[in-house]
Amino acid sequence: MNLYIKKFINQASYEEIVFFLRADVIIFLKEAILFVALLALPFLANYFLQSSFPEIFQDTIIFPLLTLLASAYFLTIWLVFFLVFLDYYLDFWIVTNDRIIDVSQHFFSRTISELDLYKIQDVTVEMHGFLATMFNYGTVYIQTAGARQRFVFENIPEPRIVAKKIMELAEVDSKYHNNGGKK
Amino acid sequence: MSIGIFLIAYYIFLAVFIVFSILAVYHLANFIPPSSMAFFTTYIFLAGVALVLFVSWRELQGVDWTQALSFFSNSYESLY
Repeated sequence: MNLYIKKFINQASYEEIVFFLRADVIIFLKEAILFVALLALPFLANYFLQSSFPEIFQDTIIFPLLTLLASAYFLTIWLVFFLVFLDYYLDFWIVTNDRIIDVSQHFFSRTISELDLYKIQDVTVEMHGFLATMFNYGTVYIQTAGARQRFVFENIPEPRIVAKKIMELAEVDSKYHNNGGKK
Repeated sequence: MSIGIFLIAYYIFLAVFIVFSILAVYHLANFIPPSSMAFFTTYIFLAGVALVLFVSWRELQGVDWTQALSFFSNSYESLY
């Protein structure tokens, strides 16, 4: 994976990867719980129908229809869950000592943006809600002077540490650029 | 009209499902390197699909798809 990342970001010889960030796993777990609830629905409906209308399961027309509908439902839910996983897994941010790379994944499309650290103007951390406080995840907003004015690291783990480190890296990179590329 | 119409509708759904599945797996293969995670998720996804299709096929064995679609009379007879 490391080799892939190096190749993917076209890593320069002086460049070090400081963070490889993804949304906190709790975000994916929330989706997974919803998925389990949706999976349980047909089983509950089956239980209800078995106890209230058992004749339906003997019917030569309604039973095949219900089976096909249930099959289509399960396949759809399964595919949507797979796409949700891809969306979670392929959405990431890489912070190096020179730049930030934002890889945004949407269904069947992908956007990759880059930001030089010395262009960072401000970094803000936002942690909302009980779960975010409990599991220490939140959103980091990076205000820039570049073409894309704001970079957002959504629901990443330990956002305060990441924000602090980014500010430190931005300061070092800024000094380096102000000195005309001399350390 | 026979109840085979349900099966045709299901096959149309399956065709759309297969197209989206291929696109999703292609997307995964294209954007992450061959890794245990990529293989594992693809395997789990395909295993889930196979399981659903197998259970559906097993449940629908013995269904006469040529019988006429007489929805109301049939359900009326069987329910009462």
